[in-house]
Amino acid sequence: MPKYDPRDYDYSNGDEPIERRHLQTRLHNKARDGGRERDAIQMIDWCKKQGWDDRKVITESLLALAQMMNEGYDPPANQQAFLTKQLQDMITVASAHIQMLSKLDLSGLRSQPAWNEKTWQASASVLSPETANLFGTSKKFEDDED
Amino acid sequence: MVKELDPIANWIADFGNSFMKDSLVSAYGNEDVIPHVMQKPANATYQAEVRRAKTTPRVMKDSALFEKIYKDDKGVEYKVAYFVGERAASSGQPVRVTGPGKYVTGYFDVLLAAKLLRRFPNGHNNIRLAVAHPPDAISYVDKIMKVLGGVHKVIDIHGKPIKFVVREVIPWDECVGGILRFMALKAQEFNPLSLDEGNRLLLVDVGGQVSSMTEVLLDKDKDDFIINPMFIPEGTFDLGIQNVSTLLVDELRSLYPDEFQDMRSIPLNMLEEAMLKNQVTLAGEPFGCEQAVMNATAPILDRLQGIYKNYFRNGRNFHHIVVTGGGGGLLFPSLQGKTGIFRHGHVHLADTVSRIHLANLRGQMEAFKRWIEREDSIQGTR
Repeated sequence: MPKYDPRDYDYSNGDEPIERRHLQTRLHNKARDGGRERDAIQMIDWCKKQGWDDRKVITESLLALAQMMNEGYDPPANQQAFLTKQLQDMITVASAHIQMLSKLDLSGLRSQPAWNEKTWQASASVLSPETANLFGTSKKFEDDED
Repeated sequence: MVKELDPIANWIADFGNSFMKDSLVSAYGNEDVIPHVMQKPANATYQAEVRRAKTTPRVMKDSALFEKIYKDDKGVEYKVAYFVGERAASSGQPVRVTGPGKYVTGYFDVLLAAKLLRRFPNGHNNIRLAVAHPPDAISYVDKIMKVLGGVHKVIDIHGKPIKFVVREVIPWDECVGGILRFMALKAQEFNPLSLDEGNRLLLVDVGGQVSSMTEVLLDKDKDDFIINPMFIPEGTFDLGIQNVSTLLVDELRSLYPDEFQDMRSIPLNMLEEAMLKNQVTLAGEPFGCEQAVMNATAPILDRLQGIYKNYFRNGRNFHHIVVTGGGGGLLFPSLQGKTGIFRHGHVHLADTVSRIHLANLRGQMEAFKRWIEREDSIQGTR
């Protein structure tokens, strides 16, 4: 039996077990350290092996991953479909977390079609007008047949 | 009589050593990409291909067939037939000149004419062209502008004479586009990477036959970023993804003769799959080829690592490393992560793997928009 079982906690009361926070922190740190989605997936598997098949815990893990993706982390193409599917499943099932989910902006998920175009259109504003100075001196030409 | 000018066409082009990319600034997402290959066919061959192109225009999809008109010393016009793009690569004797040798009339202007014809099939007499060059080609910029600027005349496959006038040429360092593309990503808008003024980024651009590493210092104007690239001659070298591909073909044939010897040619998509995944799909089954990929990528990775160590302080003072260029996407697995050569926690691709070959062009398009705004406002005040 695992020492810690998230099912012992009543999430509906806002109870925040240390281990869950720890798990999320570890996930986040892993992502920042470059361990990224491989570690996140391994940790989800690890949760399952520990008998923590409670969907809420796994949802938390995936939410942490969603947050990373939301912050600009781009998982490899072959992982995107899996992660998106997992996230969508969890979002459907984990009714207890709907409130939390509603606070997350998942529009940044890169697996969604048209992400590139929308992002490009919306975000080019971070560049200063001085960017124009990156060009060299131009040269003008005439139409010698005019 | 002075002919009326067409509405100005702000056009941006990158005549890369592998692929030639261009786009109009007015319409984002309309990039045209064709292989950088040229052929000067015999007249009979050209006429045969013209007939084919007229009956099945699809063969022209990634190509341009035309006759370019030149003037001799006495001002007498003569024409030379060319194939450019996919059609030039598929048979005959394709020519691909790389490095500074390509910036000559009779070659670079032919590539330009192919792109012009694809972009403006009815001609245009008021084109403003922003053209890319690698950092080490800075001493050839005048030559580049001279070859590309002015009047270019062609005859299309229907025998119609078409005239283009490039009225202004603006040079840009191609790798800078990659950092601009990276800066314009959503991640930067919300800034979870905590980018701020004073940060240093290392820009790694792996092209077809030229690669470069450039230090970029971030500055800020209120909330907007200013990019300050600092080029050094030692940062650019003549090795790119084409060299890796050539080596990879040899390695695959040498290490796995049963699988590859009887393949007359190994297609580019198979080589790309190998570089990205260390395996290829052979007869529908995955086949591991990690050793071949390691051997083929070793020379370019060694070179990058050497420059990284000797000129960029092993990345110690860089907040992020940004990888761009078509080759950068393919080499990315070998550059990032714990096993990557940079041993750096923050290595990013300037765009998605499938669009990374357009990252430089798309990034520079943003800068070009600002350049146009500035120039037009200056002219408006004159």
